[in-house]
Amino acid sequence: MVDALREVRRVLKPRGVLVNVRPVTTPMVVEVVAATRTIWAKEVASYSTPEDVVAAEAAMQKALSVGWFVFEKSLPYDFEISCDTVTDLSLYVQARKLPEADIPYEEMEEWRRELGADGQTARLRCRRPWLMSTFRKK
Amino acid sequence: MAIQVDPAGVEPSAILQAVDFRNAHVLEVGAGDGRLTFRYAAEPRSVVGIDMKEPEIRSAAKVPREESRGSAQFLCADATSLPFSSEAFEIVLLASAL
Repeated sequence: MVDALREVRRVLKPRGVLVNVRPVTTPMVVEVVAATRTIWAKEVASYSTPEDVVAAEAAMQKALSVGWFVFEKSLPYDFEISCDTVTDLSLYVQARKLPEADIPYEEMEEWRRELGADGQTARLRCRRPWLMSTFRKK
Repeated sequence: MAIQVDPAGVEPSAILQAVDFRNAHVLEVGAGDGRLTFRYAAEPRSVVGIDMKEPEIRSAAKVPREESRGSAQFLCADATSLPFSSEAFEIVLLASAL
């Protein structure tokens, strides 16, 4: 990771900007949504390998400490995935290697079916906390 | 549509608000299938997206230019040995790439 940051510094022009967008280890929220209203929600683990996040943070700290970059600003945001069915959500979660164990698929599907029976279109939403940070090449 | 990723475009909006991409040469590390790249590609002068995952980069490279909204190019490359000359870019975007 430090090697990648060294390369990024090399290819950046003087005073160039490094933009780092990444997920953080804060729990994500899975929800059942009808129209714009959240009907049901649960917090679940957001990262299957939190050690990767820690290692990435350590690499960035190293790059700052040796003076390659200067921190400018950070902005947290929610990265949203909206799915029609639990199968879709599960496919996304597996593809992104997110932790599946705590996601209550059956409960979510039950909510979706109940709302559907009431004539409402329900979708399943996953909101992952991400962070965008910018750094300036020294 | 079965799965919508970032339907409100929160991520590209955050990036474009934080940094001025106009007239910049941009390198995106971890571009994957170009999901994020195509959402800001109309702003900079040029964009090169790289990723180690060849199938995803191939998929990004196949997107027709009129759909990609800019002059994005995609390469399969390793972030620890970037195939570019020094000081080639004004902006490097690490997309969950560390």
